[in-house]
Amino acid sequence: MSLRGQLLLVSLLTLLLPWGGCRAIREMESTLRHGQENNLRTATIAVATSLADNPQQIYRTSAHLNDSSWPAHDLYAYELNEAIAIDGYANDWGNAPLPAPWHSGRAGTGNPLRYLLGKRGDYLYLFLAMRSQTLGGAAELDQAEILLETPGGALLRLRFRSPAPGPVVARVETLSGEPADSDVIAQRIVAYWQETGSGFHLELRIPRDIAGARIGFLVAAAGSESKAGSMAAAQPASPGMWFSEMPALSAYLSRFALPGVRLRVADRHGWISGDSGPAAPTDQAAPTPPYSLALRIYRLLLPEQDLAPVAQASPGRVSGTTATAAMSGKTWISRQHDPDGNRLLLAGAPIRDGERVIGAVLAEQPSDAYLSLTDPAAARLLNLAVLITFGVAAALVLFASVLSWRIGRLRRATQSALDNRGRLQTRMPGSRAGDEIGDLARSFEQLLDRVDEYTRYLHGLGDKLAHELRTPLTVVRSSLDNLDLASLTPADRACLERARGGAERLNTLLSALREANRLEQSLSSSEFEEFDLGEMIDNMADGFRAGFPDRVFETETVAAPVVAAPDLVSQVIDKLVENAVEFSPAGGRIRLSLGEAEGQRGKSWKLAVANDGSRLGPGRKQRYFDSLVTHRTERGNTPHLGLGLYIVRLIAEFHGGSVAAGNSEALSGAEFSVTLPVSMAKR
Amino acid sequence: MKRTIAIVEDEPSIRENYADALRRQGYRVTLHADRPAAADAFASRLPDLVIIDIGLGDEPEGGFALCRELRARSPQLPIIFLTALDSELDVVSGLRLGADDYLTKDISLTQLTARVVALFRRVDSMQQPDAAGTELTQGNLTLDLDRLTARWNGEHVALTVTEFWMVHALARRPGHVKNRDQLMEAASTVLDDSTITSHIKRIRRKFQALDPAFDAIQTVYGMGYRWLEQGNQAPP
Repeated sequence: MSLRGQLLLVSLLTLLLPWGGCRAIREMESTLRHGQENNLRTATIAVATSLADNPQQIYRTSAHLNDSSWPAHDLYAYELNEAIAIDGYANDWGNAPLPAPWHSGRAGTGNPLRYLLGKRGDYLYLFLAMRSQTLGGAAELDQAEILLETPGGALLRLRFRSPAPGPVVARVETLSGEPADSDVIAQRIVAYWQETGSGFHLELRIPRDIAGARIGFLVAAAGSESKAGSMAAAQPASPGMWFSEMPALSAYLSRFALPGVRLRVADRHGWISGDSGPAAPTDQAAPTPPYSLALRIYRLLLPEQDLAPVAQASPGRVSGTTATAAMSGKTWISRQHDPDGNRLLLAGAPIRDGERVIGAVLAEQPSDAYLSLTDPAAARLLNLAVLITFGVAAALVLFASVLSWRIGRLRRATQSALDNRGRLQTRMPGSRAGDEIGDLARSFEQLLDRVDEYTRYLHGLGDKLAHELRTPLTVVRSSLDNLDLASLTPADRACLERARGGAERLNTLLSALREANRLEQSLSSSEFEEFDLGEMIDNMADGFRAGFPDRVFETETVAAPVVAAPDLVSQVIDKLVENAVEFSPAGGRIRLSLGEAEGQRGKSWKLAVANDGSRLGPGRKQRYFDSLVTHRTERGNTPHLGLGLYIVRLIAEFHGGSVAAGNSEALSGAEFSVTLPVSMAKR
Repeated sequence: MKRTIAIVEDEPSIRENYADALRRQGYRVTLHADRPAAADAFASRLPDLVIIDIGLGDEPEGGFALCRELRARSPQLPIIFLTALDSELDVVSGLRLGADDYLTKDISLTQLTARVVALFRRVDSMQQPDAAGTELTQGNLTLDLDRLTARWNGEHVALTVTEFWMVHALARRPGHVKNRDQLMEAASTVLDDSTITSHIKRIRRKFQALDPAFDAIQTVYGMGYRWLEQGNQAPP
């Protein structure tokens, strides 16, 4: 695995940072939620405590507190905030919710009916709408019957029937209790009958001083026996209680309500008796566009909570787990979402009167999915953490790449320190850096310097040796030359010839020893030109045939244009042939072949010289091309230093080519070959 | 009058051997071991020919310095470098200083003697400017076999004795390939292959300095070299 890969792997550890950040966000999120819940719970309990032992604030009458009759007959009167015109239309009922769904009445069997009950100032308002297909004649009219309990406890029946739209007057009769003045009461109740295409409306206004704790109604369409209404049709009919919001309590609650929090008080029946009103918008705006990227990240990091939907309550009532729990005396907190998908935090606390639970305070607060986002400090911290994480990871990867590049550069420099001409490039890149890689580069430089020094010494050794030996050899030779031949006996002359022969051989040896070194010097001054290698081989073969008459030369060449130093290439051929001549028996065959080959640098020519002498033994074949290595077994007459093939290798490598040794396929002996690129820029 | 040959050589045995050989040929030989001694001697009287080794005692290039001094005093004095140094650079430096020849110590005494004789002959013929020497003309090339001088298109080409003999061997039989052994024999010297190659290169360069289009000496790889007559280009 490469260093870059390893460092990349290590840099993956920085992913722990976002992971830790994620954990921190969750912690913070949870802390913030707890804080929010605690705040809301505390506020709720505080309100509940302030309302404790004071049922009058919640209940209009003690009858409402103690009522245990059938609550299905109970009605809820909205606190109306607009003046109502008694005209048989409900369009001015303002803040009251749309009329409840059509229902056939609690009595069960009548035509579909809907109603609205409202309270404003000193009046109680009732709106009834019935769907009726039959058009009433004079004998059979639509009729409505309203039962009303007066504050005095008397039960009144108001009957309305109208042959035509317009104001109607109730027929009032006292069913129980102290009889009232029917006419006065009838005059004080304002009612309006309105016919519509699909039925009729009845709107009426009752002064509060005759409207006690209970009210109920029954409506019957013309020609229909069945009635629809808020109470059972059976006689004697019993009206249910009507409940309403307590304006004083609502005002009280709105003083407590924090921004964004809606406080409501429900009585023990679940009717809302106080409401601080819809929550005012908070200062903390919803996530703005710059946060949207962060929001997406947090969605990935934080699990979405699955929330229960808010229980749907009928108008004027509360319901749901929070309300139920608070009613049963427990403080409760929960998170839910409303039909629009907004998240809500709900809290409930019981209101006690002594030991008895007389109601509940319910608090409702919109709660953002990601609290930390709405908290500016937390958001800044998070953004900073994310930024730093990515920054650190990027810096690590960059650092790893730089480190890897530096080491790679050093490695490449080390690899190419020895160039094709055997020269050492001892300067390493990055050796001025002060760190360990710089140390390494410097160590390499020192090592290479020493190797270079040693190599130079070795290179020069042969030359120096040859040079130093030359002078004494010259002394010997010139002394031999100086001998007066005339004064010598034949025996002396033979002796002199042997001494000359020995000196000659020494001289040849010394020349050969210097040849390789001199060749290295002359490589740089060689001149490249284009010529035909095949033609050169053919020409040279002619020369060889003349020079070595006791060998048979065979050639197999092609036209091979090449850009090279012709002197050097001819020297290669010379050396290869000399080598082959030495290793083939007299009369043996020597085969020069030239063919195309794929070299390292594209198209190349492969020149092979084979002989039919002995085959090469096992072992590393390249060693034959080393300096002072010979593969001969018997000693010949001519001195041999094993430098010929070394020169071949030097020249081949100088041209960017290569050398190879092996056994010939065509002939019985060895084959030495040189591969030269077709074209090589002079270096 | 006997001609005087000065040998400046720090190795006594070699010095004596050369001196013996030259004395046998009838020359007067003076011997000098280092540069100051030689310079002192030459200050009073110049010899007729000087043979100088390059490395002289403590001075690795004392021979070059001596050559420079001598050449400054006498442009005609024949100077031969005889040295163990045979790198391309040394040869070029020696010849650039105006030496008439540059010989390595591989050379035999016979060959050295032949060189000395040739140089004296050249000096003699130079002193008789009117006498027409034996000349060989080959196209644009004219060789004066007495003065050992060459002219190309009438212009003098400064060849050393060795180079002159090589050119002579090639130009005498145009179109004939001379191999290295034949060239060495003609130049009466002992040279290895690469030295012959550099000699040929140097000869070409000298001609090309006068005539950039010169390409009369052609290399026949594996065989040797041949002289091409003008307008008789060999097939490529």
